[in-house]
Amino acid sequence: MKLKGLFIAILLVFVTACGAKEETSPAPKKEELEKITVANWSQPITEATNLLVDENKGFFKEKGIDLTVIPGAGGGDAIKNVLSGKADIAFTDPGSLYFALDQGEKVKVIYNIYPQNVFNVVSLKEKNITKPEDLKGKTIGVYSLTSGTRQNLLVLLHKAGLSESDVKIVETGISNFAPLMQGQVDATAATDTGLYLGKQKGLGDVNVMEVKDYLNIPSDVFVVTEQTYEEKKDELQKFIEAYRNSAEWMLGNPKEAATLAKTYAIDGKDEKVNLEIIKLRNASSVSLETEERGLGAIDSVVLQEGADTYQQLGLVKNKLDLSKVVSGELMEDEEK
Amino acid sequence: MSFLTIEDVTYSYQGKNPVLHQVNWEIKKGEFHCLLGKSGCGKTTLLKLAAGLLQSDKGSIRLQGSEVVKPSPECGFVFQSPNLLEWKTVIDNVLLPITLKRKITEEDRRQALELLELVGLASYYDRYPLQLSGGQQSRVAIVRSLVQKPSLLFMDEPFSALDAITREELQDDLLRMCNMHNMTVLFITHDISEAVYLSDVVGVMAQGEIVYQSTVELERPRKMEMRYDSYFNEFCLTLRQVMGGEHS
Amino acid sequence: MKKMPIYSFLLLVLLLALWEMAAGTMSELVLPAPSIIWFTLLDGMKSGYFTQHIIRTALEVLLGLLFGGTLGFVIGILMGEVTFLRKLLFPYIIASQAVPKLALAPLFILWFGFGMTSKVVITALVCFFPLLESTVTAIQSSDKQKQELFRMLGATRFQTLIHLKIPAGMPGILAGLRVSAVLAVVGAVVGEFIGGSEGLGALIIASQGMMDTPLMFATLILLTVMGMILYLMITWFEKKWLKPYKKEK
Repeated sequence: MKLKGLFIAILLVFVTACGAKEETSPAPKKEELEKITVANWSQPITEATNLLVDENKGFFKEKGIDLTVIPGAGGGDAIKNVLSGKADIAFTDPGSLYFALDQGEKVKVIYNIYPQNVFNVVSLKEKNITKPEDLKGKTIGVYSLTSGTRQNLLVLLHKAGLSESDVKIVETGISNFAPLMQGQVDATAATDTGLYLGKQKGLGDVNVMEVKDYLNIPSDVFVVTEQTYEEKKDELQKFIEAYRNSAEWMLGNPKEAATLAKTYAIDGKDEKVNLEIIKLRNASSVSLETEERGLGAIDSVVLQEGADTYQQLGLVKNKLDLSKVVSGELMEDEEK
Repeated sequence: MSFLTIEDVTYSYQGKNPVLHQVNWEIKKGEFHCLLGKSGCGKTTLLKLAAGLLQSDKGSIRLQGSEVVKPSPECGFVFQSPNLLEWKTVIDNVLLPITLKRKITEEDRRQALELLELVGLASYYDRYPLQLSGGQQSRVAIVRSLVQKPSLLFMDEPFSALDAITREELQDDLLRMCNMHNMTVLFITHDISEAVYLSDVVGVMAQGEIVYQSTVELERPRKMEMRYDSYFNEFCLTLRQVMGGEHS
Repeated sequence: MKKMPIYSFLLLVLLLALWEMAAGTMSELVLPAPSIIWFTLLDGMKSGYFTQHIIRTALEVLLGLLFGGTLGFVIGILMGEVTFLRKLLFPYIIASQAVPKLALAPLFILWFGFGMTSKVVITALVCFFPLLESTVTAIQSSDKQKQELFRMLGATRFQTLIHLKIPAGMPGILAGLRVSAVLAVVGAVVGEFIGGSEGLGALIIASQGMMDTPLMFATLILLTVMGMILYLMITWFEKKWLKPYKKEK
């Protein structure tokens, strides 16, 4: 009867689906592989290609790590996922780190992913905004009120002696160059990659103020809970070694990374664009410290300065002591 | 020897006044009985009790000696409307009573087609009910009631919604089939001439009681001309008077 | 009236032409022209960029529809048949109708993780209620006369369910399925919005960051087509199944 046939069909689909639902591959699991989950601040994007290509390049596999990356909606999301136990390591920004510390969370910074600050403030040339002081009384766009663009804008203003009340901040969402091009804002707070994309979409001549010229707080760091730090020291160390290798590979092979990004990154549609983005991220991964001490070297002084600035801005309530939070231990062990 | 015995049956729907009051009736094997009555006199209720769809409060109903407690495959039932399942073909509708009991065999199919042939619908076997006219649907419903070769047929005003000519054709079809299989029939109607044309015995019901009973002395097979002869008309007049009488 | 499809098509052409002209005056970020969207769509399809995302979202939609729909159907039958169950669960069903199920999406991401499971759960939940409602109504509203027929034929309760109540209720049940299908696409997309790294919903979010508005439009078109295909499939199935229910010449 018709019903019977339908029932069997449904059963077959169910069985197939159970097979398809498995996210992890059904390959036999080796006992040596340790599971490590990284909570990203975004979807899997080209910027972090080196973290996404383990299936192809095996940086983490060869260190005995079975790596999973989960997406997030911002650095705060990444830290939340780590605090709730969904992930071991957060790929997050210092701002979210400060907020977590302010709430009393016990976390540690174990690696400096992008020691260079990538945030900027962009305005059309005709507005003649060349230094932070020129922003007084202007309308400035940010991604959202919780985003890193706003926080870094405030840091920039603070260094120029201005406060939030001296300017008008407007939420524009991530496509923040459209309002700039249409004259709805005088300037927009963005990032290096955002600026590149904006130029691709027809942004004309602009003046750019780099936040790193005023206070070079890192853009992203790896953060873990103190508990994970104590319990999984070995795995974390291996992870850092693997990440370093992957970062070095991307530094030396941007074209290969751009090609792989087409497959592994959700925004990797155009290989040429991928290449430029990867080059930008490569540039932000190196600094004087990394030249001396290797990739991932943490400058706790500037992190402390960042925390203090956040307190002065009123973004965090308490005085945070970063000296207890920063740990280069896992990287020093390797150097020995 | 009685085939169906209704003895002292009383019935009322929940908490209401009795619909049937100490009704007695007897049908012998092979007889065609009609119950006449105005709407609301309780004839449909009596039919349902006899078929086992309802349980009497008092009294008993016996079929061939054994008590009727629930519907039996020995009995066929034809409702006021054809009640065919729209999503099944004609042949599947006819075979429904068997489908509910066991798997259909080729023999079942063949017999069902034969029955359909009797009413001239064999070529419609794979059509759907909504593609048939009212009269055709009624025929299918009758065929369905006969597919389990019942010995007793209950019919609840099955032709009341049809036009006069179709009604007469179906009456002849019914009589033919009953004759072939020596069926016993209990037929409900409010149409006096239909009752006289079809039956061996006619009963009149009013307000839950049998108020009149008479045997029809016409030969079988019944012919159309009989409808217009004097015996027929006198009989109808008597029945008419009985039915009209309770208000005087 | 035969010319109606032509008129509808001409209207579409007119709208596209107007759009093309209007977009010429605006930046691509705000309103891209249909021609650019078309090329983006074609390009992405040819290069295989869209493929994994289409498959992912389609799988979520189909699985969610399967599980949510089947569960809604089965529980609908139980509630339709067993009065005690129906009266017991009825207030909860009403209450849950008021809960905007899509607002539960972040909660499900929290519980079920970022993989496909959470999206399928969200979609299944969204598909569950329309099918539950339509099934309960269908089971309860079968013809009393036909039920009497089945009693007369000595059918068991189960037989009456299979041979009468469910076939009789199919028009209503399929209508519920149609509603579920459209909602299923929404469910999958919202799930991907909130925590997705793959799929057409995740792609829309990504296109924000890529400042690629043509891509956003192209993805929207793909989602619309997916929803339409699903809807038309069910409508076709409805027509086939329900052919005998309608009068025909």
